[in-house]
Amino acid sequence: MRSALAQHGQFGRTIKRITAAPPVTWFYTAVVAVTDFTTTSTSYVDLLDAAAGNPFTVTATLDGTQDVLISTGGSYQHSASPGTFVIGVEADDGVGGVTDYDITLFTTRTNINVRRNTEGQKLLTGLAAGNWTFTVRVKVVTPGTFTHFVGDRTFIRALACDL
Amino acid sequence: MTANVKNYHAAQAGNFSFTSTSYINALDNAGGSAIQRTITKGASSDILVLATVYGAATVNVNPTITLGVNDGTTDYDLGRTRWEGTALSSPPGMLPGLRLITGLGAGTYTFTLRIKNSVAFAAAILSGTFVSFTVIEVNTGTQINCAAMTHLYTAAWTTVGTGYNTVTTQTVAGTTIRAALTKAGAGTNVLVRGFFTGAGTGVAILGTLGILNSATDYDAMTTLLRSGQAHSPALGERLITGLAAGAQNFDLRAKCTASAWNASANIHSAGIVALEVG
Repeated sequence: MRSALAQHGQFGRTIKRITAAPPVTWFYTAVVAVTDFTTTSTSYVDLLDAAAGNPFTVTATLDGTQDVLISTGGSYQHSASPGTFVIGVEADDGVGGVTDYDITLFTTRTNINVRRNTEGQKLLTGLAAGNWTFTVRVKVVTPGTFTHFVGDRTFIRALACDL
Repeated sequence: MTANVKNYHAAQAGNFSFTSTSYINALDNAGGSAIQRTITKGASSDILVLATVYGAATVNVNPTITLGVNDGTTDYDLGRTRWEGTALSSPPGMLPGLRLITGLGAGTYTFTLRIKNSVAFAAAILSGTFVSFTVIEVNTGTQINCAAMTHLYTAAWTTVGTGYNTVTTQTVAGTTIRAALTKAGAGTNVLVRGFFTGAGTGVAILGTLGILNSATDYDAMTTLLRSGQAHSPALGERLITGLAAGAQNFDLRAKCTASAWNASANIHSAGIVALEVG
């Protein structure tokens, strides 16, 4: 069973369809920092929602046939000194299959110390069946002090679906 | 069987500089390869395109940059922002974009990332920054109901105050930037992704991107809206749960942390997409 509605936007129609079957897409997203988090680590560490707090994670049970479209990003700033940082995602199946993926770059410079947004999307393929945890990570590429301020947002999304 | 999603994600191998004021292919390097993905779609489905690139002007000017996508025949706008000149030691600015492309028949399409400049001074997608380019088949009838709207401004959009205002296509009597979704299931959720690019005038000020559904505002992202040169992007996502089946509108919202974000606020582009997910 299908019906359709249309909306006229600036660039013409956007179409929505009603489907009888619910989508099988799996998805989760996250959260707001509760205190400032600063790192100078040049190897990947978990981005935390507080100085000694919780990582930003999503979990998914995969059947071994699915790809996962990861999207992560947020609002960040340098604190003591500018630099370049990479936001990444760690994929962990809990049985030894741990991989860090670079997702997006964040750069600040001396006279532009402002809070800025960054975001990236990467399709992860070849993931084995199992219970996967995806965690937002960060590492410093060029020296600097990176801060995720209280009240700012980091999000992570994992989108997997079968057609 | 996996979802019909094609994704390009890579660090730029070198600066891709461009001065063209009409669309050209965005390349992965100076003289490099086009950024493309090929997807095969059904007769009644639509294509959702999501992208982010990062760049700056290579001289001390502040060009307006437009990101687009071509389906082999037609260029579609994705988003627009203003990048800062390198003489100002600016970090690369994010240029986000999204677009729901409808009306394509069944077949195989190669989508190519496109870009254009507003002035004859070079701007560049910067070496080492990541380009994300995703093409998703949606509205297949059984998979991922989707609604979206994208708008590029030709006149300033204005807001005042610390409370949320609905982002419209123009200040007076504008059309709401809205994803109007007909939600099929009662137990499903809705992923909403929104963005705007803009700046305060006279003062830099924190701005918040929000999503309005029914009477509820959902905060999605904060950014600092700088005054003057560059435009700051705000891009965020929220998973909204507990909504009933049927018509659900998701409107783009914006607010600032002080009332000084006033009549000179200037948004260059805005977009919102709603996806029904499990």
